[in-house]
Amino acid sequence: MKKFLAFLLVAILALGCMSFAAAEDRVEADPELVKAAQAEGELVVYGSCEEDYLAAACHTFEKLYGIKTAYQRLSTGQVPGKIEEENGNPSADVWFGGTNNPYDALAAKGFLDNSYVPANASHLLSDLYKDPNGYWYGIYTGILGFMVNKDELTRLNLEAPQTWDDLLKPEYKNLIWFSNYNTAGTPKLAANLMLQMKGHDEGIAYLVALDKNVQQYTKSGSGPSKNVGTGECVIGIGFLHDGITQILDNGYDNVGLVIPADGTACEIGPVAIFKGAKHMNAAKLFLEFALSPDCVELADDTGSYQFLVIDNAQQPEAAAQFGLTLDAVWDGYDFAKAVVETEQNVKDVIEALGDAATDGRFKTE
Amino acid sequence: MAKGQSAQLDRKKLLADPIMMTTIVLLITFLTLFILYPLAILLVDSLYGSNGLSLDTFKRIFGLWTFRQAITNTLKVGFVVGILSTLIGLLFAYVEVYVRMRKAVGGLFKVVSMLPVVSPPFVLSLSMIMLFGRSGLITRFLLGIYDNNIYGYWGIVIVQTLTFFPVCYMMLKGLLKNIDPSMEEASRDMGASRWKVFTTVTFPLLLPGLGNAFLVTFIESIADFANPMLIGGNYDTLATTIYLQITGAMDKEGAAAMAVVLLCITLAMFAVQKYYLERKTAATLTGKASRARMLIEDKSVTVPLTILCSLAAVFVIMMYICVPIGALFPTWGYKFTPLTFKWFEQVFTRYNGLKAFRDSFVLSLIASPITALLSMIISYLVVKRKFKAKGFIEAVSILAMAVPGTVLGVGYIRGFANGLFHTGLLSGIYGTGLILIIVFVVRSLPTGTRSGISALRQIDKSIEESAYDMGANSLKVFTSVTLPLIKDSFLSGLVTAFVRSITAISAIILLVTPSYLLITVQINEFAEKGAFSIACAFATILIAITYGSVLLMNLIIKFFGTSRKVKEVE
Repeated sequence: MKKFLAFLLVAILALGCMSFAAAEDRVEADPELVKAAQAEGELVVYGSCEEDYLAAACHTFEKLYGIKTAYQRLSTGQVPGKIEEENGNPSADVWFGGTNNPYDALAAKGFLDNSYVPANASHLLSDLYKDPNGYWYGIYTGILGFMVNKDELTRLNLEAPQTWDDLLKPEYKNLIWFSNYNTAGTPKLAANLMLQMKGHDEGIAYLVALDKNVQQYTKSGSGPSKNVGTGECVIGIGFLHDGITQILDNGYDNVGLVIPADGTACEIGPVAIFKGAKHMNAAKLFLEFALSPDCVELADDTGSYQFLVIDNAQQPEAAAQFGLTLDAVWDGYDFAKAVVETEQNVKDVIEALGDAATDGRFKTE
Repeated sequence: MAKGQSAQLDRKKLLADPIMMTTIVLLITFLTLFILYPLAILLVDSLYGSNGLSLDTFKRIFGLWTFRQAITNTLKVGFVVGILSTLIGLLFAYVEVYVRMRKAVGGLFKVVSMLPVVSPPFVLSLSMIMLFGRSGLITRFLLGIYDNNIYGYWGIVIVQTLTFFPVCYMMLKGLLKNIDPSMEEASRDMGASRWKVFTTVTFPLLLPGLGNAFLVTFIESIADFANPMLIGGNYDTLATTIYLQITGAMDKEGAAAMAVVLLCITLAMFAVQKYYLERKTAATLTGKASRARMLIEDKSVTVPLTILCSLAAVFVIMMYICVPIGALFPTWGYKFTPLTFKWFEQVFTRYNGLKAFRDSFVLSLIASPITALLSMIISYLVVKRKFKAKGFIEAVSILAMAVPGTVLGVGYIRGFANGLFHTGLLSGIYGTGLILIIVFVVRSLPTGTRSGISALRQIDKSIEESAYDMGANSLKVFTSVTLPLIKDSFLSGLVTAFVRSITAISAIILLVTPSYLLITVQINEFAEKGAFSIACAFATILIAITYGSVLLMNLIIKFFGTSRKVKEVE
């Protein structure tokens, strides 16, 4: 019996060592940092990516390092509201995923921490995928496009729109869903794109014209994509990887993806540490983890099919399978300009829509 | 002279009553700290900007067309929903209390009118979209209508009415039960028709109650956040506009100012109700109903009323059946077969369902008895006692209802994240379960208080006075006379508080931290993004839990409530 116990003990020890070694082997994280992070023992994450991906990332992190990781999915609009209110006493340590605009806004107000430069940032494909001042680092990128319900288009005897200008055609009236300029990151990106591509006034005029065809603005950026398959909306404007999720994971074969022929923009899904984070070392370790294949490759398994932006990770096959490529991105898009202008652009668009509303469009009855 | 003397006597009596004094002081502290203070912070925010004290913020928000539009939208929805809900609630309450029904109809009826109460509000929006939306089961697959647009005004009105009428029903039922049948019978005996009795006896007695019901629904409607969020489409109401102003436009001063405007509207409603309707209150009721009522068996009355209610019942049932069924479809709106349990599985395997249910359940279970007791104490003080701070207590406890949850949530973050007035005092409660419990209590307090007040108004003061005269102190009187008399109201307050807490969303969505996973937050998350099936799976389990709890508590009421004694006499 004693022998057996001894054996068991040795086995457990050996196993423990092995798993530790394995963990060491997989992520090139500074052992000092790992130790300090484990001493803190806890981490709180706000995630603005898909819930599945967020959950998988946090569970994997917890399993790899033995750090208790609590997480909550909040939209990119909710997180800044909360963090600003908490004013330096943030209820979370790390912000994971979403889109870069609100990250830039929070960084400008001094609520993100850039004191730590993750070693894994060296794997980033381009400097485009990180904040010039180091407030956030990109983990994925997705491209903007249209998702269409093929059955409905056939029934209505319509062609799918191929360009941004196509969306203005009168036959699409009340068939298009978009998301709210105020609450979601997606339309902010679209507004920036249009205003940069067409020039400020032309771009505004375009969005006002588009508004006439839009039936509903959802609060969440991925709202339109999720309503295309069900037939609630016929044409949805959003990120195409959300469309792939609907087709591959949720079985909506009736969804078609369209990359706008006249160019589109891409979002960057960042990760960042909040200023005043209570578990600083764990947060730093999470940053390293988020920029490693261990984390980003989970996206593919959990139905998030964005392009990955680190060189040592395996790109998801689905994107290529559906003909998505980063070549579709309009090369004139100026990220730095967008960061500065977003707030004013959104304000201008909403005001312009308000002027247009006086002719009765917004009196929804 | 005599008046002054009696007031003086009252004051003396109060000061000589330590239990009463402590209660009042504690109550005032609680109300000030957790209702007034967070709102005060918001008021300060909206008035005191970067350039000192000014009305600039208000000028700015009234310049926004979205805001002006939202005010009209909100008022329109609020009035229509308030009136519709009160009428339907009255119909149901009247039929249940006055009309002899078949047992089966009665049972069905209770289930139907309880369902909206036990489910989170956005569930109805969900099933509305699933049944009547563009790809709705009824609109598309039954009627072949392809572009039915339910997003907007009518969507909100229908869903809110269905959601709120049971509250009116419960309130009015309590009132009707307490009306002494001998008054109506007297007028029947003198030859009045049933309609005449209803319009000249029952209705005037009910009028303050109807006013209450309308007020409660009106305020609930304009503070409602989940339904306009889901089904409102581009029809924004004040609650959603405020939320968007905070989360989207990041304009907290503006949002605070909007909240102040919203408060002014609800306070105006409150004033009308209090100073106009309550003056008309007929204080003619003495004690509990002395005996059971003779139910109406007249076919000309029972048949149409039963049919009307059954139709409403069928509609409500259909709306709810849609939820569990929706959770079984593999790809909603596209392929409906084969039915699958995968969404239920995912709730537990992928989305931490177990933790979400446990957290919600435990927090609500702690909050509900606190709420029930507090609201009974408040209504007792308001109705039965005279003291200076009485108006304050009543106003503040009702105020909590007038505040949209989202705004209360922001007030709490502002007020407590860095401690009281940013001093660090009390900052410990922020981010804990305690603050969630407090929010639950504050959010359910007004409803409990209202129903407690309605119940207590019908009990004559003399019953308690005689206990006092025989030397009982205020604690003894409250526990051995008042509470037993309003036991039903207390227990139903307990149930309501539990259900409201476990289905609450608007206030806590901003306050919940990752250490607590609340079920409603999860449902909202999935529903908002159009992941209907998983939202339905969550909602189905939640409805099962809440409905089970309500049944259990109703059973308790049946065995320990006052109505049992009435039944025995019968």
